[in-house]
Amino acid sequence: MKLLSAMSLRVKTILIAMLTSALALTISGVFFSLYDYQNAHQKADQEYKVIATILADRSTVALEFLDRVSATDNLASLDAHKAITLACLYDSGDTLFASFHRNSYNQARCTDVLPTIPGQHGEAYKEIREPVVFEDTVIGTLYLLADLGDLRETMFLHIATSIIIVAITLFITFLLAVRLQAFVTVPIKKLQDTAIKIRQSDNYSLRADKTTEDELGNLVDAFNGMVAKIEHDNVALRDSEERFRTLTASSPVGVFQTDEEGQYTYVNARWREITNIYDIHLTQEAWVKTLHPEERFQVLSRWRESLEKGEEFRMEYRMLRDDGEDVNVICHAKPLYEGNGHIVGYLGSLSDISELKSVQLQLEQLALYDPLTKLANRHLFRNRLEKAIKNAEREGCMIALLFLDIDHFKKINDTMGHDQGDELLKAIAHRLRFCTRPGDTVARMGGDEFTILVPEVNDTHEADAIARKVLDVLKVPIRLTGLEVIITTSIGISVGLRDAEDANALMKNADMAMYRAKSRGRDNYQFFSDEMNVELSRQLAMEAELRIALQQEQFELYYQPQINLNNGRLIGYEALLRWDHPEKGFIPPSEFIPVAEDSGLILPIGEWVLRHACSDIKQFTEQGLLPLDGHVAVNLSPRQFHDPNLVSVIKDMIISSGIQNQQLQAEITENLLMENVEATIATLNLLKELGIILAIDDFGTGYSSLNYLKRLPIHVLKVDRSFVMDIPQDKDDMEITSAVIAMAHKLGLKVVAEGVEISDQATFLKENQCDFAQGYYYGKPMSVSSLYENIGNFERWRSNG
Amino acid sequence: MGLSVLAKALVFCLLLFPAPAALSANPDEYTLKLVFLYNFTKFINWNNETELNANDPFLICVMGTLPSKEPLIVLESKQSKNRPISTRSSKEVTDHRGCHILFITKSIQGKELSSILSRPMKDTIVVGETENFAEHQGDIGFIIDSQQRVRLEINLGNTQHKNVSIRAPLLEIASKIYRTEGQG
Repeated sequence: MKLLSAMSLRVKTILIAMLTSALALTISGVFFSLYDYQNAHQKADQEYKVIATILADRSTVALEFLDRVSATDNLASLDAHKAITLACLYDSGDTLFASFHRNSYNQARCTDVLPTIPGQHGEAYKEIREPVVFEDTVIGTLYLLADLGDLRETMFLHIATSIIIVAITLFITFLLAVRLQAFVTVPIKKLQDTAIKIRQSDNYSLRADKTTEDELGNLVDAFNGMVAKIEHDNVALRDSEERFRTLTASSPVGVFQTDEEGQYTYVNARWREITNIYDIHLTQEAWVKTLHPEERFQVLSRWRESLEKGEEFRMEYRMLRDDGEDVNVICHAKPLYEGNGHIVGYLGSLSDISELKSVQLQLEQLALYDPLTKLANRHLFRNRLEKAIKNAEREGCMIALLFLDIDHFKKINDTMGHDQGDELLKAIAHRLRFCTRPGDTVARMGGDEFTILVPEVNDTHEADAIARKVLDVLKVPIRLTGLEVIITTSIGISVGLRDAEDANALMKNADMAMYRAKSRGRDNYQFFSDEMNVELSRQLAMEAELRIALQQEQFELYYQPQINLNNGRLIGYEALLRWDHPEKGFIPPSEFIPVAEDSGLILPIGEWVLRHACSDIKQFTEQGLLPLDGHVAVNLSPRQFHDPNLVSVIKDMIISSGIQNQQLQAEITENLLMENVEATIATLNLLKELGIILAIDDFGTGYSSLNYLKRLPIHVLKVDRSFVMDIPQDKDDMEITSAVIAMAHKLGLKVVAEGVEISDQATFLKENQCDFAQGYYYGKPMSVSSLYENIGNFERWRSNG
Repeated sequence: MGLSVLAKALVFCLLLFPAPAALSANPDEYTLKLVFLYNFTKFINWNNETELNANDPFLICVMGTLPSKEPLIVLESKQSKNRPISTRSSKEVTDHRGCHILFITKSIQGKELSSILSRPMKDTIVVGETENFAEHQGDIGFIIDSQQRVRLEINLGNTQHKNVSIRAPLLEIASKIYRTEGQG
């Protein structure tokens, strides 16, 4: 079959014609020869039969008259028939009567009696036995022996003739096939030559000549149509490639193309700029050399894996060019496929993302890190906390979350200035890093709040140890520019997944524990406990009840008189908020005010207080319970004080109630002043412009800077009851009190002493020129109705004047 | 049963059945000639055959001397064309009427023979054995050839004027046939 397949179409055509002819001629020759032979055989049989019949008939007289001569003469007439070699006439007793035989080549002779066994002379001879009948009686038998040799000779002659005819025909067929195959093979050969020429020259404008209008002509048309389509596609492809080259040449992105082995076949100018490879003969090795040694193995592994699997390659990696520049790039290559789906190469892009990477790093820093301290910010800390929780769930370990708040940082910051404050925060951050392990996360949550995440702890002692270390390390004096600062911190610790199982709860618990630490005197750490949760629940319940209290008017204002120590006259009251719970009874402000402050309810409650106080001022003035130059002092909570609507609210209330501006005194705590001095001063100035009296409450408990105190637009200082209550036993308190009074007077401020309960205290205050006093010694806080009932006292205070 | 078989039977039964090639003027010769006479009934058609009854015999007459009459007796036991054979013989010249075949032996020659032959014999085939018998006035003449075999000569010129016809096979074995001018 291979040999047949390798034969040319011309040879095949000739061969097919020859084989077909030979087969047809052979079959027909054999058929006709056999047919002729059979036919000749039958004819011979018939002929022998006729001869025998005639001879038998003519032999009857000779037999009847016993005329052997006639009989012999009669048989001798067979001499003309070459095939019959022997003729024997037997009488009725099967005895030979007359005979004839051909002498030439036959040795057969008539037997004396009629042969009884047929076929004695073999296949080459035919025996004919014909009875001689006369008058319906068999009077003898004619026996003929015919030589079939002639018949076979005839057949052989036919076969030989057939073979000669076949040979001649085949020869003629060969000549015709050689001549006629050209009608088929010549156009095909021309078509083949054209195809080869197109392939060798890549000239698709060539066309095959059409010489016939038959199927070969159609084939030529189809071929030319196909070539025209390829030519058109090639032109389109060249145009497309030209556009591609033009586009890539000016592309800001490096573009490259490789073969299926990864060898470069095309790169654009930008690719060369990025890689700093300008060799004309570009090799893969040149590119490999540009890979950064730290990433070379990884990049090559990925690239080779992509080549082997025929997959897309996308990777960010670093290059270390031969000019020493470190370049970050992103490379993306996709396989190019042939029509049959095989990969013929890769087309890819190479982008210099060094700047982008740098910006990305900066953005990541900004997004995830605190710019001042370089610690993780709230967002990053949150992410790491959530990861740590998942890890703890998976590994069954514990995590510890430490929530730090620097004690009195605002005061320090305000005192030292923001620059120093920032430096302090940096120093704190540095020390916190020092206290933690490499896997821990230290974050700045904002302001002076820090958190430490310890992702894997075996027991709470580890968290305990870290907290102690932090407390100790932070207590070491921090040297800033020109001064030394000693700070403490309060730490709340929550342990996951024991205290809580999600980030929010852990943060909240740690925060709560930190507040507990604050409330326990600061400079300590507290683990979160269930009790804190109970406290939280209680606060939430109270918050709900406070809302109801506001709606149902469960609040009431009590008024405690303030007395002028110089003349003993009433100068006003301090309004104190009381909550008379319908079920729980009286609830002290120390319990619900912090809740109201935390929940924001302090604003509506504060408004309620201001509105009722103004209303009462109006009523007290009219009823003679308050002198026209007297006042009612109302405490402003920190949140209320920072409410931007505060001034307008107070102004509206003064106007709507119709009181004198100076009849309202606003009291703010010393601690509030220190939180944000500038903003506080601005708000105080606005209130002062409104005409109300401004007082500092609980003075002496905070860390007021005299420098700031001097700048505050206030009228009154209220000395905290803690200083007054131990007079006269505590000499220190007495000295502090007298110093405060003296200092206030120096600053042009009036002084109110709180908590005066005995006469010695009143006497001491008088002796030290304290202006006003307030306390049980003069009158406890009273409801409005009680004020009216004790109106006699007012008469007394008036009369003292 | 073929006639050749009958002839052989006759030879075996009546004669010593010598080979024909060895025949001469002896009883064997006449036996054979009588067999020939018998066979003539088969190869000669008489015009009035159809008018005869089935039992009417072929009458074979012999005039002159025969060495033996036994063969004639044997002949009478045979049939030809399904009709019996009857014989009549006399040494003298007698009436020939009724004879289908009249064999005149060589004992009758000369004037006697001529007188017989001068008779009108339209329905009788005259067979003789004298020299040139068929050539002169007889219908069929027996002759002995050089090999001493009995042969026939037939004079179609005579027979064509008779109420008989001789069949072609009989003519085939005749050594000589005489015809009048005009016969093919």
